[in-house]
Amino acid sequence: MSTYAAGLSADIGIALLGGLSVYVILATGQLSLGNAAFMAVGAYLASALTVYAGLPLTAALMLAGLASGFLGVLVGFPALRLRGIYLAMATLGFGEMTRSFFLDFAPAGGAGGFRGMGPVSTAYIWAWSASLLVGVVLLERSRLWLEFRAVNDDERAADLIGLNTTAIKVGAFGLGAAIAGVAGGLFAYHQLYIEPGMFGFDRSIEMVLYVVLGGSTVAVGPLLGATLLVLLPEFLRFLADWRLAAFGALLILVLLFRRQGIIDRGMFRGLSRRKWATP
Amino acid sequence: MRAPDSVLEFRGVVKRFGGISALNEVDFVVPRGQIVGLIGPNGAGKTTAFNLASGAYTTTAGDIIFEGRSTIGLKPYQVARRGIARTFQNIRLFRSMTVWEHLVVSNREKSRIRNILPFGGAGRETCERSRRILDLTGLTAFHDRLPVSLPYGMQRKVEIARALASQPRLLLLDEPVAGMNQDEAGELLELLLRLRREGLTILVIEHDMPFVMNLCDHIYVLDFGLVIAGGRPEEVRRDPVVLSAYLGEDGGCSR
Ligand SMILES: Nc1ncnc2c1ncn2[C@@H]1O[C@H](COP(=O)(O)OP(=O)(O)OP(=O)(O)O)[C@@H](O)[C@H]1O
Ligand SMILES: [Mg+2]
Repeated sequence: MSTYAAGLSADIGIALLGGLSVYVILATGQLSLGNAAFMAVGAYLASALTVYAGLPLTAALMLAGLASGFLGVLVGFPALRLRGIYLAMATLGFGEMTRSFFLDFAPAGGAGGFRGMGPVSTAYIWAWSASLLVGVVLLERSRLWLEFRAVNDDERAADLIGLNTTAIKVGAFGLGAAIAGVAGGLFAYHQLYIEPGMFGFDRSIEMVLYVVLGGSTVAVGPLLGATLLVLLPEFLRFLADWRLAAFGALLILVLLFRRQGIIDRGMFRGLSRRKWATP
Repeated sequence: MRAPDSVLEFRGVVKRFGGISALNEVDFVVPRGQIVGLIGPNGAGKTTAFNLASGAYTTTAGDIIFEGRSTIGLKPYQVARRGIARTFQNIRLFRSMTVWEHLVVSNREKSRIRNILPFGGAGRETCERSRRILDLTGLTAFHDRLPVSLPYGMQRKVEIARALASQPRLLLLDEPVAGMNQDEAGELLELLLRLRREGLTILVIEHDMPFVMNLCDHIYVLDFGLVIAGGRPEEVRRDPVVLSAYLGEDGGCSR
């Protein structure tokens, strides 16, 4: 594999994790536009733990995931009071807040960024991405995931059939944030250098786009979305300045004709017939 | 007159929305193993009583006792876990879930591990119970369907099936016959009588009088947030207070 292809493949792996982090939270009906913040926390923490504290990368990524997840839970609580566009705005605000925190936080290098991370192989990145994807795919087949969907479909009814909707929504936030944290750590090692500008609003939007384009009702949706959105700009290079316009047009077309994203749960219904050992 | 073993009890329950009193010092008792009807004209406060009993609304005053313990201050999911299940006047199903998935998610899974394992949500016990519920409600052939693809009467049955899947000791049904045809209503009557024989206690709101009269052991009549009558179906049917409440509602004042 050429270094160019390997680089793209690593980008896809990291993008996939970003998409999954949005996907898990969205499964409970919560749209987060602040996941780049969790990524930033994971990126800085994994970098500091390895560069300053000399921890092995795998351990550092796990800790970064845990810490981001914990932060996600903290953000998840106030998020309970908000819905739809208001939640989106609040998480967006949280993202900007986190970005400016790192901008002013001298120990992390401030605007100058943070370096010292060594290169990692594409295989290592994909080991994480594939494991977490498989994890989410398996989770989708659990009863807990049905609880997520129940909250998304009708939160009040979910509450009234005995589901602790608070725990479910906050838990989903934590899980999504943890995945974003791991993505951040891998991103830092893939880029070898991080600075706050890399974790801005546009990155959060990108993560949402992977899900919206690929599909928001099955975990392979974000996989397809991440792949397409990482590769398309490359394939559209010949369009030069028109690249972004073509890209936007494509996105609009997909959304016009498939609001649920390219892949949806219906496509898998036949495959999952034996899912619950139905009669 | 208090039954020795009451499942649900309203004691002086008041519910106000701003200036409106939806319920005004309401007292009633649902004895174990019985089917109790809650009837009354539109806006009488019947659904409000259900919302209070299931914890969806908080009471303004008074106490609600389920199996000897107050449910005041509990969240809806905590009330549900104590053993109260309900259906909704306006059907509220999970649009993305098949009928079978409704049963799996409503069935309480005690093992946290099994809850997150793939395919683990439906252990053998759950499966058997859910199959039996499908069988009872006549939904077996539709287990793989999404509720939107089912006729209205069938959707009502899915709601009842979902409620049963949580293994309640008290079932609250809000106008279960609405939207059902004669045959379906007949089947539902049979089903509810059968559930009572198996020991389930049921509180049902219903406008269909023949249905209520055939089904219930006891009936309470609500009007303007007050219990204006209560008794066996034959007694309630003849009660002049009840007649005037209903005639009044029908605009039949011109006697
Ligand atoms: N959430 C609410 N906010 C304000 N008022 C409410 C609310 N819920 C119910 N009410 C009012 O309380 C009164 C009782 O309503 P409720 O829905 O309990 O009546 P009902 O007996 O179920 O009537 P129906 O037979 O039409 O279903 C009505 O005046 C209604 O407008
Ligand atoms: Mg009502």
